[in-house]
This record gives sequence, C-alpha cells and structure tokens, in this order.
Amino acid sequence: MIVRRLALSALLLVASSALAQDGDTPPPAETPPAETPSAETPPAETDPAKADPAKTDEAPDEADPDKPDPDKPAPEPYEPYAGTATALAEAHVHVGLATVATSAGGRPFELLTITNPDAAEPPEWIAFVIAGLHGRRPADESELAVAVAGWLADQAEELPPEVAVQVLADANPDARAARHPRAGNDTRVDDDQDGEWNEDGPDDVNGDEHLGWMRYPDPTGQLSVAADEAETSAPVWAEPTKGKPRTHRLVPEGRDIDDDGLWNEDGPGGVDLSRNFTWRFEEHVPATGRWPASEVATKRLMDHLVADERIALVLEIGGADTSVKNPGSNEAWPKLPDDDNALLDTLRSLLDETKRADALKGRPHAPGPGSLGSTVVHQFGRMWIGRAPLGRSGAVWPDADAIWPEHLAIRWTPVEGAGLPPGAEVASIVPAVLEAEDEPLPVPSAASEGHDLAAFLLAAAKARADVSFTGTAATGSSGVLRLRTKIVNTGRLPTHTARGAAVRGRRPLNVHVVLPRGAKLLAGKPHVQIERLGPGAASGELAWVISGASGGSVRIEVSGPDTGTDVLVEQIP
Amino acid sequence: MKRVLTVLALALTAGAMVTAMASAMIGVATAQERPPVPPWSEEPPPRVPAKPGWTPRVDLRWDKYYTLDEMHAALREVAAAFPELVTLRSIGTSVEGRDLLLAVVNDAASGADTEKPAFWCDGNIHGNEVQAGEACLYTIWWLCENRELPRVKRLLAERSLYILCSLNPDGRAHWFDAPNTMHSSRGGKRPVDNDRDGRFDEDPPNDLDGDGELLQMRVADPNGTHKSHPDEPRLLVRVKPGERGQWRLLGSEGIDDDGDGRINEDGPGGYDPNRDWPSDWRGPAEQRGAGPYPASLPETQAVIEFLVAHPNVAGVQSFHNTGGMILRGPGSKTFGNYPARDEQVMRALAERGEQQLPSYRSMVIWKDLYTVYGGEVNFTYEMLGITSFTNELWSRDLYFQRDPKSGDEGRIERLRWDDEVELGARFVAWKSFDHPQLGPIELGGWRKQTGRVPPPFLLQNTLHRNMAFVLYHADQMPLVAPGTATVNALGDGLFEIDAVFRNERMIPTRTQRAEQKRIGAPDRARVAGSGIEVLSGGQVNGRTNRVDAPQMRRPADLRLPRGIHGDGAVRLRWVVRGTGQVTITYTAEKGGTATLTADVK
Ligand SMILES: [Zn+2]
Repeated sequence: MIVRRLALSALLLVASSALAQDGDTPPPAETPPAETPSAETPPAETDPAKADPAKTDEAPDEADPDKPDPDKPAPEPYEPYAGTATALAEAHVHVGLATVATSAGGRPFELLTITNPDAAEPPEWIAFVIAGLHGRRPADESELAVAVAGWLADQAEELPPEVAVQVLADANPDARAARHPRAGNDTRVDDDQDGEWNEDGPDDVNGDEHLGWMRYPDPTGQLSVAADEAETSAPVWAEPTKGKPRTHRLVPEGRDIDDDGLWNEDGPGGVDLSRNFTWRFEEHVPATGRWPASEVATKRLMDHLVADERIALVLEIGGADTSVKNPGSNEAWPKLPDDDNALLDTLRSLLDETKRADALKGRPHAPGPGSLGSTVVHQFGRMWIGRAPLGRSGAVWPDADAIWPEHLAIRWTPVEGAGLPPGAEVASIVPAVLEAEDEPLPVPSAASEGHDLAAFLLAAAKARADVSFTGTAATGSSGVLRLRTKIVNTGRLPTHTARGAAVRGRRPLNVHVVLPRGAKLLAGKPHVQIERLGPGAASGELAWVISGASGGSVRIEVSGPDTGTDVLVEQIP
Repeated sequence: MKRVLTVLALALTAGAMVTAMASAMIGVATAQERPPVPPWSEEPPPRVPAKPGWTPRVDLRWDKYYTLDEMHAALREVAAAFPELVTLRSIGTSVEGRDLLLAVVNDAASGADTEKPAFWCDGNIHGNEVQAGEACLYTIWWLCENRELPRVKRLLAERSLYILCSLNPDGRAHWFDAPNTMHSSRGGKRPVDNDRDGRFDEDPPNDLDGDGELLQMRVADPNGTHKSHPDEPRLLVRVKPGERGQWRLLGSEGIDDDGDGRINEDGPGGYDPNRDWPSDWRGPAEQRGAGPYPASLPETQAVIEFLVAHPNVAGVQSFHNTGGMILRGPGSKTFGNYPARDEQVMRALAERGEQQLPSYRSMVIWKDLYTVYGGEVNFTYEMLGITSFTNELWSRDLYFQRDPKSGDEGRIERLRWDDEVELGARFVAWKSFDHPQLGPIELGGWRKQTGRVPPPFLLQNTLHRNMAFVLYHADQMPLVAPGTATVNALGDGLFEIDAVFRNERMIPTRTQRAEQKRIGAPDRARVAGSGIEVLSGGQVNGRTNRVDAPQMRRPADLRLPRGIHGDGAVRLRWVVRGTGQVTITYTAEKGGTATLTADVK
C-alpha cells in the first residue's frame, strides 16, 4: 500500500503540472494536493466487487477481444470498472492520475492525463474524454474509456507535444459503488414525492449480489411477452395497436416493502447526472435533480470545463451517439450554425465508421435536455462528440425508445417469495445467439472500440486549428518599423465553433503588440481581436507603425483557447 | 348576508325609487355586518407609538447611508440591545470572505423561530442598490423599538423574520469604498474576463482627480457627437444631422490600465447575482450576467441552503432600487402565467402595497419590466412555492411635485432639483483636467449618491413605507387555527370524528404552485388516541358532506397536498373503533400547527 501511494504521488505531480494554468487564468476549481484522504483511500478498496478477482480480470488493454461462450453462464451484466485507471497510471510515466474533485459520496473523480513523453511545455489544447455519467451503464462506458486511455498511452509519441488527452473514466463513482441499476448518483430523492425518502427501494431478490430488473404479469405493463418467447431474447415493448399486447410490467428488482402495491417506486438512485446539466434542464422532474447543476458532481465537472479553456473537445462515452450522424434539431438541441454542422462532419470523417453504421441504426443519437453534450455545445460553445459503446450494457435499457443491439439478449429467471408479485422473473443480459447461425454474434469489445476512439482522438489532435502569420512585410528606415501581416488558420478545424463565437463562450483570437523598451506605437491598434477563423481562413490585414528603440525586437503575439500562442518577431531597423 | 339578499330581492321587484332606497340600505347593512378591515390586522387601531420625548434604545440615524461595516455595527448594536428579539448569525461568506449577516427577529419567549411561519427579507443583492440594505436594517430596528405596540407584539409572537441586510456585501463595500457611479458595483467581486482577452478585471475605472467620485469624461471637439443643451449648458445632448457638435464623450473616468488601447473595458466583476437563481435559469448565452450554472456564487448558495433548511418560510421580499415598483413573477414567458389562485393572492397583496407606497406600481416582471431568467423571487416562488416580491425602492416620480417629465426636459428638472432642493450637493460641475493619456479633457457629472437612491432627507419615508409592506405581507402568511371537533356514534362501536381547521390569513398554507409541482411537504392531519383504531380518514367535500377520496394507506395520518386556502377551512373525517380521548393535530409546513381534542364515547 505504501509503495503504491508513493507511486501515485509522483504521478499526481505529473498530472498537476499538466493541469497548470497560464498566468492570469484562475486555477482549476479543485486540485487537491497529492496526499488528500480521498486519494489515499479510494472507496473501490471497500467495494466488494473490487475484492473479487473474478471481476477484475477484464483488463481494458487486454489484446484479445471477448469471446462469448453460449455454454458458459452469463457473466455479471455490469462489469465493475475497478481501479484500472490507477494501474494504467502506474505503468506509464507519461500518464498522470489526479483527483480533480470529490463526489457527493466522498469518492474521487480520477482524471487520467496522457501527453507525449517528449512534451516539455504544458499542453495548449486538451481533449476531454468522459464516461459513466449515467449511473445505469457505467461499467461498459468506463471500461471503454480506460481502453481509450490505454491505447493512447501506448501510442503517446503519436500525440502532438502541445496536446493532452484527459480521461475521466468514471464520472459517477457513487452509482458504481451503490451497484444499483438506476440512473442516479445515489443522493436522496423523494421520487414519489410523498414526503418520505427512499422508503421502497430495490432488493437483491435472487441473491446474485446484483440489482437488476424484474418483470411480472400485468395487463397494464410496458412489456409484451409472447407465449412462445425464446429463453433469451430482446425485450419487446408493448404496442397494443400493433398486435403487441401489454402483458408484463418491468420494475427494478425488489420487494414491495411499504405494501402499497408498487415495486420500488421510491428507491435509492438519486439524480440522473446525465440530465442534471444546465442547457434546457427539465424542471420538477425528480430524476433530473432539484435544479440545474444541483449535484456536486455536475458542478465540479462544469467547474473543470470552465476553469480550463484549453479543453476544446469533449468526447462523451454515454447514451447519445453522434459518431454516425449529426443530431437532428429539437428543443434540447437547437439548430446549429452551418459552420458547426460542417465541423461535426469533419470530426466524423476522422472516425472509421463503416462497422458501426449498421449496429447503430435507429439508436438515439441526440443529446437530451440537461445533458452534458447539449450544455458543452450550446452553452459553452465547445466541440463535443457522443459515442455509445456497443458492449453488453451499451444497450440503452430499459428505455422503450432504445433499439436493442442485435448481439445482446435477456435471460429471465423465475423468482418467488414474500413481497414479490406472482410470476416474477429477474433479468440478466447475455450475448445473443441467432438460431439460424452456428456462432453467437460477437460482442464488440472495449479493446476494439477503444482502439477506434484513440485513433479518432489522435486524428482530431492533428487536425486542430493552427494559426500562423502570413504575408508579413516589414519595411522602414532607421528607427521606424512599418509592419503588416495577416493571420491564417492552417488546421482542418476552426479556431473555435461558430456557436462559441455567437454566445461569447470562447475567446476570440487576441493579437497583442509587445514593444521593446523605448519604442512607441505610432499607428495601429495595440490589441486586436479576431472573432473566429474557419479552416484555411485568413484575417484581414493588420498593420502597425513603430518608432524608436532602433535594433529592438517587436513581438506580435496571437493566442486563442483552441490554438495556443504563435509569435512573430521583427526588428526595428 | 341573508339580510342583504332580502333587500336585493325587494329592489328587483320594486321601481327606481325603491332601488335607490334599497341601495342606501345595503350600504348600511354591509357596514354593520362587515366592519372595515384595517391594513393588516383585525385588532383595534394601535395607540400612538412615540410619546413626546421618546428615546429609542438604539439611536440610529435614518438620513444617511451605512457602509457595510457601519451596517454590521448597527446590527450588532440592535442585537445587543434587544437580545430577546434579535439574534445574528452568519449564514455564509461572500466571494471576498465577508459575512452574510442574517438577523433572526423573533419573540423567543413565544416559541422558536423555526416553529413559526417565517418571513424572509433581503436587500442589496445589487451592490449599488444601497437603500435596500437600510430598508432591512430599519425594519429590524423599528420592530424592536416598537415591540410594545399591540400589532407588533402579536406579529412577533405569531411569526419570525429572517432579514439579510446585504446579500452582496462585497458589492456594497466596494460601492462605498471605491470610485463608482450610481450604476456601478451592481455585481460582486468574482473576476470575469469582460473583454475576452484572457485577463481578468485588468482595466477598472480610475478616480483620476481623487475626489472619491467616478465622473464622466468629455473633450471639446467641433466634430463631436454632443453639444450643450441651449437651456441648460450642464446637460449634453446628441447633435441632430446637420448640427455642429461641441463635445465628444469619453465614458467614465479612467485610463487605459493594460495598454490595449481601450479604457475601463474590464472592471471589477462583471456578472449579475440576480441571474444566479435556479429557476427558469439560462446561461450567459441567453441571459446576460448569468454564471456558468445557477447558484454558482457563494452568496446565492448560502441563501438557498438556508431557505431549503427553513421550509417554514412562507413569504419573501427582496429590496432593490429603483423605479417605484412592486414586482412579482414570472420573470419570463417560458412557462406561462402563474396559477390563477396564487396570482390573485399576490395581486391583492401588491394592490395594498400600491396604497402603502404612493407612486409605486404593481407589476409583473416579464410583462411590465423586462425578461429576467434566474431571478431570486422567481426562484423562491417557482421552486420553493413561496409568495414573493421584489420592490424597486425610490422613483423619479418622488422628486418634484408635478409629474416627472421624460427626456431632456426631465433631465433639466433633475438638475433644477439639485440646485433648488439639495442646493448643488449631487452634481459636479464640469472642470478641466489633464488626462495622462488623452491630454486636456473635462470631468463632471452626477455623484453616485443620487438618482437611484433617495436624497437623505427622504430616506426614512422610503424605508418605513417599504417596511409596512413587508409587515403586511408577513401578517398575511398562512396561520392554521383550530376550528371544531365533533363526534358522532355510528353504532356497532364505530364513531365518526369531524375536525375543522381554519387558515386565518390571505395566503394559502400551500400555494397552488406548491400543490401543482409537488413542492415541499403536503399538510398533514393526524388523529391519535390510545383506545381507538382508525378505519378510514379523508377530507370532507363541503358540497356533498361526504369523504369522496378516503386515504387508504395510513388513514390516521392524512396527507393534504392542497392545504387550506387563504381565509378558508378544511373539514376532515375519520371513522374509528373504540373510545377514549383523541388528539387531532394539523401541521402545515408554512402555516404552523393547530390541535383539537375530542372525547370519543
Ligand atoms: Zn436590483
């Protein structure tokens, strides 16, 4: 333990230097020192899942993809993401691990930072990968995020030296610790608003140490179960007008503790963090939170983004997927400027999507109200890409709108006992076997999906906006410099989004003239702001006349949050 | 009422003369049956408060504005002089670490503050809107000094008040201590990069001539945009096309601190604390002055935590300046109008306010003023279900006798007011000044202590009238009172218990908003007795005298999400088996508790 802690401290130093800010920018909201109690005693240590070696054997950077075996009993449906971030940081010098904040439940938000091993300066452009916000699916998402970090760590010399990738693999550690199949973050919510809290929560009915889902016969329920249903099959949602009558109700696994005829109508689960962000937050819906950013985790995540303007791109591994198609506009996702839709097209072109297009057919892809994605794009004006994992819990279940992935199925096991409805069955998610085929369908592994996303991030880092001076002409006579130049963006991405410019969420390019001692600016502006430069676009001409300090150097500095700083130096004749 | 109806019937059957007579009779009859209701009490009018030679325990002046330190010192003095009525506690600290010093005003002898329906009042969320702070301080002081007035005594026995004089202590301190105009230091002191150059608060205004005021700068320029008004040379007016200019305006007093070629473009702060509240909130993309998320400021966060921890708060008042307004939500049209019953109650309260506050107008924020997302009183009503008002203290209507004139005429009148009534205390005449970067210019204009704040000699008038509105609102908060309890034997050992509870005031125990959005705890009515078993319980439908929807779970402990309407009553009915003494307790989060007893036999 002591050895591990020392290693962690060294890595935290790396991480905090990576997080260091430029002069006037306020520091990130919370950068606790290395020896914080939360870093010292990760709650994962007390998590029974962590202690069980059988549950940690799926290392994210494992080379072999999962080979599902239909004869083997189905594995635990929600693989806990277990301390793999720490392992990754310990294995690579250029991977930092820092606790950037603490959750409501006192658990650390562990942020991995990957940089080029040869990087000498702090990064000037950061891609932020976040996974596991929605408490119901953290395992696969977190596993995928760690896989992305693993691939990047292995190819870190491919990263441009001025770029860093931050990975927050588990954005909802409280939900993971609680191991309940709810969306929330495990804070206190009076779901049925009867003035009592969590008086009827889920129970582990079948004793498998996992809280899953349960169905029971109910002619008013959401599910339609055919009499000849296969032992394993995808859930069928009732559509009475289309020949799918209502036969079963779907509830979280549990008993009717308060004897009101309802199962788990007010259980622990808390606030769904993926609906607790600010943009078009849904008010007075218990699961979304008391108000926008009411949850500590939401606030700390927003603080992290606000405090570090270098975070230009957010890759969210979650329910919404924009990697195949742009989101259509709706209330939560208003129409974007054309330039920004073109930007999304560019980002998508950096992904190899031939494999995914079919698997994602019909999957929901637009971020919803109060989501991180809509907040990042529409309020902050930064780049965002959503990606849903295709693994076991990649299924957005049990939402009726979700399309069930072909390669997954559900196995129902009967249960009986006090407080259980007659005919109750508990679900587990297993790999699907198509009867017509010999082989079970392969379940895409975190390793293979992570590889694709790591490649995308490398490509995006290389495509980022890059400003430089062009058409520079410096003339003059003794003691007078006449200087003109333009600024051009030679990257494939714009200096920032059009939305970011429209809502003043991103800073413009700032051009400053720095004169040597004794020199004077006779004409031209000492400070020029250029709102935004698209890919390949150039500014209008900038011109200055400077006198005095013959032989001294005039510096023209241009900087922007997505571009870092570029400098032009000219001598006064 | 019966008598009135009879007279009306007569009027209908008789001719015009009889109608006239009947009308007169109606007047008499009504007057006899319903004596005029005094503003906020049913008790007889108070005796004269101040006898000649009356001296207060704490001698505070009400013709001056208090700096933050002076205000806190005055609060401590009042709390020390009236320990039985006032306790102070810091509910949090500001961005710069100043205390949010809350006064709890309560007659502790009659019960803890948390056990009574409570009123929240704050001021000065906008740092420059200083008299809002004095209005709070005055209310605390005046209640203490006048504690023996029967109405004050009763109010402090029935209610508690939570009064936060300055919700923005940094903004207030900065307004007094630093060069400011009447409009600046509105927000707080968290740095904001107003000019988006990556630096924070690096180019504030500067008091160039060291006179403690932030004046305006102008320079003589024949091609300028402004000229002196022909009737009033101190007033600058924009030139019309074809006219020759005299002056170019250079903005507020200051220099280019950061050498970027602009003056005063990134001063202290740069946000609006009254856009930081989590209801109908919009980010800075859509609402100027908002932060990255609601309750992003420590001051907002502290007040929200206090209000959430005090569900007994049943009325809210926020003091601002200026314009003579009694404002209520909605702040935007996002969710449509407020529910009709709540709107009626708030309008009725505001209409009394219009009487108490001459020249003030009752207004709805988005309809009559402008759209505000994330405002404080929108939050307290929409998210917490509390009747809430914002008063904009002081108005230009209160200067001269006649209706205020608008435009240049109005501005000339303001200068005349300064000349004739304040004898030149507020306007600084234009004077030449050698600007370090701009060369010879002129400085002049209004001092900060004018325009948005009343002249000191009119201050107490503003404070007292606004306090009166607060006390009226506080008195109209719900108050649950016991009605009657009756027991009927049904035979076979079964009894029916009927209990009536009343709400004696105008505001319902649960606003319609609270009921609709399921905010806070529903009212509860519990019947308890050792010898009885409760078989059924529910609220009686007054029209049918039946319990239409009995509560099947826990019938001894009824949940009443609708509460009791203003000046209304509920009748509850239980069917029980067994005999003995029962206690029936009605609890409303915002209306207090009332108890009835009955003998079941
Ligand atoms: Zn104000």
